[in-house]
Amino acid sequence: MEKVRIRVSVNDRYRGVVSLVSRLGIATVCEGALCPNIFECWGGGVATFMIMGDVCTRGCRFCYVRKGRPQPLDPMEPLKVAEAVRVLGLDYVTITSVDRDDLPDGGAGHYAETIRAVKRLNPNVKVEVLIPDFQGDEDALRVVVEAGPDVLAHNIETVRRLTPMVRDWRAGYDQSLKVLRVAKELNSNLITKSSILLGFGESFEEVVEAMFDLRRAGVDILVLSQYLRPSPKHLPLAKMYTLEEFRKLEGVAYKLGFSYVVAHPLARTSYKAKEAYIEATKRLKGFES
Amino acid sequence: MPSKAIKVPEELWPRRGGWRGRVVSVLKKPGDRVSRGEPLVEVEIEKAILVIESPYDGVVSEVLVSQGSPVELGSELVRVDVVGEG
Repeated sequence: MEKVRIRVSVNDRYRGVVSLVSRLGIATVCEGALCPNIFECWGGGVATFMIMGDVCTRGCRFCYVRKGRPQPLDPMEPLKVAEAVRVLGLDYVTITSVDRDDLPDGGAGHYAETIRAVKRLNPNVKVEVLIPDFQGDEDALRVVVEAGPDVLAHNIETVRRLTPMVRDWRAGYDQSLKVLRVAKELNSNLITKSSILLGFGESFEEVVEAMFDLRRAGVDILVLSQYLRPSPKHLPLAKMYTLEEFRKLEGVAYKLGFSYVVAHPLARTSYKAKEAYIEATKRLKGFES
Repeated sequence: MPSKAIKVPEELWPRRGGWRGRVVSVLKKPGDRVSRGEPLVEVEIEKAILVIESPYDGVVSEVLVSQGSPVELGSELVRVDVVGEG
């Protein structure tokens, strides 16, 4: 299968992001997951921050983020992320994290502090969080929702049948749907979002079923993207989708009622997140009026 | 004209090193003119093919790798005599 080509282009803005995140000591998922869009995003002065360290307690078999025993939380991290948002001059930021099954609240309190710190220092910024499942703990989820993110994302990652193969044993297809459904129940104005990675061996019908399930959970924004095997230790790639196949799935997704769909081989949850938020908001407002 | 080495950039996923790649194609030969932003070498890693661009305008003076060469962060790929700098 032909691999995707990524143009490696390091400009001054890219170097500025390198310098900033290193100086502040904050992690990014752009680096942690070897994101193929890093040159485009950092070159445009945008980064996606990964809080609570760069070591994940889970072992999902598609993900390149380091796994193992995580570091203690940095109590200054919320302020550091807020400062990074200020220095970069962002008006929209996506914040994600590693999973922290070792913490009693899964890190929900730290998420809430980070959202509040970012908004306090940057009053006009919109904040998207891409959260773990908190093992289905609704109280933890409530803590995050009440901190006031503008978009709450949680990824279902794959279809029901392949979930045990693709994701860590503590993750679950229904558990992830529940996170998304409960988040919407906690705040009906909250825009919710989820991603499906394609290429693990799922059928077209299974992808449609997953999209249907996400819509039933009230999800507004859908991201469809291509799995790219990050190392020989990770799950093999079963299929590279064509752009036509992405267009076809995108069309089905809109028919199912998503407010906005990002469907592209190199799309990732936070890729063009601001544009997705703006478009989804327009359509949701239009729907209400 | 100053001669500059063009490398696999150290800033690539800066704090997540450790990956290795191999050269799949060298797109220029000694004597070829190159422009800033023009692809020079393609490096295959597990996830993708990285297209390494020239950061300079100039003339290729030396090609330091060939198809199949193993490379990592910081590996020198090509030398370019840079035009308009010095």
